[in-house]
Amino acid sequence: MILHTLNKTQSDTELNQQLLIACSSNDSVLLIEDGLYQVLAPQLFSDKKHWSSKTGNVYALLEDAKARGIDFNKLDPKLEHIKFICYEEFVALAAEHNNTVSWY
Amino acid sequence: MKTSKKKHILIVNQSAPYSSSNAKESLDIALAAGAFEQSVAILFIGDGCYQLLSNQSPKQTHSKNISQMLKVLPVYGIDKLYVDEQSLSNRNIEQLDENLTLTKVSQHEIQALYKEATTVFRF
Repeated sequence: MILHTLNKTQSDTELNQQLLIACSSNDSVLLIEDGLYQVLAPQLFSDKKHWSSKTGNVYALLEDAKARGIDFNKLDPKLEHIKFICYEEFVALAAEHNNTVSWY
Repeated sequence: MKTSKKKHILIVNQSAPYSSSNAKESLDIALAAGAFEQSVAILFIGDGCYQLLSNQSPKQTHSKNISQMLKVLPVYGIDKLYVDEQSLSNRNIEQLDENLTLTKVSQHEIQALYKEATTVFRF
């Protein structure tokens, strides 16, 4: 059980692809920093070549969304499963998983 | 004294606002060039479009609000702000900060921007 943190947009195709390869179904992905912009593109989350096809456990850091003007209340309904968390919950999430891998 | 020829500077912003200092530095160049009364155009393309979202509040991350800074550009004589419409639609960005006056441009028009420029900076 791995917690993957991703801090880049979908424009970094190679990085996103490497995460797709590495990710297992019981892993979690936490979007931080510029990774947050991916939630503005719901079509990614139904793309088989996107890392989200590997796991439904997707989290996003609330502070980073706020900084970037991303309103989590106005997301596409397809993305309802994405949980927005605070820093304390990030710590708890890291503790719950066996390992953390940073994708940057 | 010889009057120097006015430069047409094109600043291309292709980076998202807070993960690097690119956005901030491109603004520094724009404002400096504006102060010297050069002609400045700014193009937002690729992830640079994310600089144009409304309601950015980077207080917690201790960064300056980029969209607030973009708003003051017209005061310095910089009013040619362009955004690639293809980059916007690729990213599902429909609403831009309404306080910014932006011209949406096609790929054809972008080519013309590069042609007109005497100097191009990419960030």
